[in-house]
Amino acid sequence: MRYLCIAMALLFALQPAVASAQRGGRGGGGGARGGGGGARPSGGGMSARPSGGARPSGGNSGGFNMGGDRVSRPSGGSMNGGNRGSMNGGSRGNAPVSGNGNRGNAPVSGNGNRGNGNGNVGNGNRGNGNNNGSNNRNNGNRNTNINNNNVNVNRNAYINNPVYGGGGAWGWNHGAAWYPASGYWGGGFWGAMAIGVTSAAVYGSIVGANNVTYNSYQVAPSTPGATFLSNYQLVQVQCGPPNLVVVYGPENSVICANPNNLVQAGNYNLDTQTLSLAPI
Amino acid sequence: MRIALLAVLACFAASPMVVAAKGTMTIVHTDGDTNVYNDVAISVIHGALYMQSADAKGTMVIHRAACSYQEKIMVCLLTSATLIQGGETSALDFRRGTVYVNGTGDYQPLALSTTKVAPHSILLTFQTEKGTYVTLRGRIDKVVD
Repeated sequence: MRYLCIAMALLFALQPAVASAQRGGRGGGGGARGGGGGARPSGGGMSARPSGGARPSGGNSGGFNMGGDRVSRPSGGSMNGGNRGSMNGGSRGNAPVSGNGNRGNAPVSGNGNRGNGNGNVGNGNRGNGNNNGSNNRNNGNRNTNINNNNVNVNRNAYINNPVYGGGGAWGWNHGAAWYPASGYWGGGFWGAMAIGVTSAAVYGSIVGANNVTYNSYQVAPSTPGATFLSNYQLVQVQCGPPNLVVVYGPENSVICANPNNLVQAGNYNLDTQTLSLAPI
Repeated sequence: MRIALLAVLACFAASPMVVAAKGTMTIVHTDGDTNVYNDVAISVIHGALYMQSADAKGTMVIHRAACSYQEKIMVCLLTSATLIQGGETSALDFRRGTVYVNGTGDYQPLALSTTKVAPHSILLTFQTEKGTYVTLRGRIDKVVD
């Protein structure tokens, strides 16, 4: 019995101790949170940093230690817009936009005059023909024109995406709209290459109208561009040689690939909504 | 008594899950100096990502674009970063960055990486022109479309 009493006494003595230990644990938790706060003041250690001195007043009192990374111009708000505006304007406003049109228009109209006209005569392909055809008919170049027409008919075919062709808009992107990010080559469609970045692998170039040269870069894996290439079973190659599939993408970007059974050699515009190809 | 004790212990064991809803931001400066900020509140409001320090004295706002899916992870390129702090709103000298968003209820692996993103969490990294790296990992606390 005496032992039982001692045991009971020990049990009661221990019980509060355990409870207090738990309370102590809670206190410890609070300490940890306090420690977290301590880490922030160590950010306050930024005040000891040379760059910390350059921070505006009030910066040292809390928040993030990014004072040295602020755009060094007065009144950040308006400046913010200014920066973005100039970057966008630079890339979009550059010759690329008009250059693109020139690039596309030149070959199309050139071939169209010859090919389409011939098609109207030789194959009676009225659907694809146009007024130029009747003009060519008078030229009497029927044989040559028929051949050209065959080429043109193929080029005029819009190539639906073999994988997502019936998926509707943005089917390739889980139905979520994709829109370009300024400051990245191709709006980021081909990868996260910043405009003007020198570390990206240059994959040849295309000389467009007005002798404007457009560099092409290696498509990064796991990007919308890589998905596009995979869908068409295309393999990217360096731009420059003739008889390639030349694809003009978002934000005046261009990539090249070897032709295959799905895509013939030629110039194409990429529809980012459906990942389909429209011949130029 | 012991049941009560167990209940209290279970309560403590469960409470860190609430704390884990916050994120951790790491800022690595070009000189190697590193700042770690715990309990950063992460919100997505009208397509912009807001990250507020635990002391609520600093907020970083990130704008994203070119969002596409890598399997079940949404990957977005970052286009700008703004710091609201000390009564000022300043643009950061942003260079480039990427954010990975896992909107599912499961861990999702990143492409070409062994890294996994926790459920309903984001992984963000960006670099400034000066060379400062900012990374954030954590659970999204609030989404306002």
